[in-house]
Amino acid sequence: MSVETSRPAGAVHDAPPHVPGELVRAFDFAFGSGTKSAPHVGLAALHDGPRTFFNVGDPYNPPGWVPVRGDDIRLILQDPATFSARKSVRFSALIGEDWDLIPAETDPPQHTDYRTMLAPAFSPKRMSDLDGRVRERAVDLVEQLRGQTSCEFMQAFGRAFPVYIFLSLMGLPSENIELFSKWMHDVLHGEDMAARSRGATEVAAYLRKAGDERRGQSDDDLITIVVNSKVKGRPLTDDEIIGALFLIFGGGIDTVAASLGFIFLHLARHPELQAQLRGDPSLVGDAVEEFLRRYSLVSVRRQVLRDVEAAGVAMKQGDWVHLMTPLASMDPDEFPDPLALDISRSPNRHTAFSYGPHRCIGSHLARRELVIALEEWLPRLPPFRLANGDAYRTHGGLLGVDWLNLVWD
Amino acid sequence: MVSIKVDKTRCTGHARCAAVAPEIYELDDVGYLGFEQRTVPAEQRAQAVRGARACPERAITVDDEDPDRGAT
Repeated sequence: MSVETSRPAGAVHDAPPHVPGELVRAFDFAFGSGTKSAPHVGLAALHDGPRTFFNVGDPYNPPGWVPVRGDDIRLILQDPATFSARKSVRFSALIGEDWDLIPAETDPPQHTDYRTMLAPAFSPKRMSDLDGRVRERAVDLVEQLRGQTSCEFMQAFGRAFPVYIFLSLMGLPSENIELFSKWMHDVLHGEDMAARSRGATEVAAYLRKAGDERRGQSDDDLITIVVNSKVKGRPLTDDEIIGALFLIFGGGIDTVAASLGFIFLHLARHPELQAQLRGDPSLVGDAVEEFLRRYSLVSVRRQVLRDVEAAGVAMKQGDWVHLMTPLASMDPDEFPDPLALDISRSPNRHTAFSYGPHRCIGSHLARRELVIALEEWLPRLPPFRLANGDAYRTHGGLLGVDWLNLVWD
Repeated sequence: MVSIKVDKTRCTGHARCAAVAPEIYELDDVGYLGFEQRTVPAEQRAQAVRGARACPERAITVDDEDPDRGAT
């Protein structure tokens, strides 16, 4: 193993000495080439390189290992005893505090207790019970577009719909759509750390106040459920409450908005797929699974708890490992021709919702939101396409769509 | 008969088995697989394998065969 450190062009970090020089790369996930138009294409190309590399080129994340194969990513995420999620996101640090996202920044067995507490509120059965409410919100937003022949999709629907559902589930007034859309943007995509920090401060203050007002209440909204929950027979601490509420804010809105953005961008360029789904709405479920695979978004990180051989490399205690769901979902060994969107793929064991104990708790809701969005949009509005000129822009990092101008006749 | 085994330590509630083969893979109230082992009639083998192959965690085996290779 090489001992000299290596600093490729574009490096913003140094690699530690135990990392073989030939595995050190500088890959800018946030602003690298292609992230403004097709971030997944650049990510898919990583499958042509080494099984695992060490990235020193990501300004928003500490340097760390990046396994590219789906199997390696899965085995790491299924092994929380070796790969810890502690302090792996750190929204709290943005505002000078020190609470954990609950349950995302905890490990078993503590994680299991929190997960058990929250799981019933997100179960497939509970999500089916909410179907009517989700559908009503989708119809409401789509109907506002009737009579128009164009829209900026992200504002009109892509962000508005998941924020609307979030507010409804949290028992918050729907006139807050604009406010929470702005906060979501500021916290996750703010231009600089000051903007992100200001957004996070405002969200935390809002959620804390809303939580305080609901102690001892018995409504079935998520804020009331969380503040009155018990873990191992005791009430939650203030830090646990803000950690859980902030997770629902941070995990549940932007991801669905980004997925909707990529789905509608894809459909705007593929009138034949629009026609197929309009002609046979029973295909929407399979189509959503394939959209989730082709446009997986989320990356998480884990910290190595003991020296270990994993994903073909020697990792040392304390190393960070970046697990990118788009890389697993575009692994050509599991998904031939991974950039092709093929709604008939079966099985389609994509990894959009991650693996292991931290599997996205909101996955059942997210699936229903995406299916319902297509089921309610497609029959109500004519076939759409991209507007002329600069019709859209995507972003890397936490992948998403900034804007998307659609037109129809 | 066809035997289905579930590694409950691996089931994290994706619910994909139930999405593709609901009559075989019944979920508990929280959305996790509700059994560790069951047998189904031979004519349900294809459905059983389909559900096993849908599991992102690879938690389900049908007749001790690797679900990736399992015959239908």
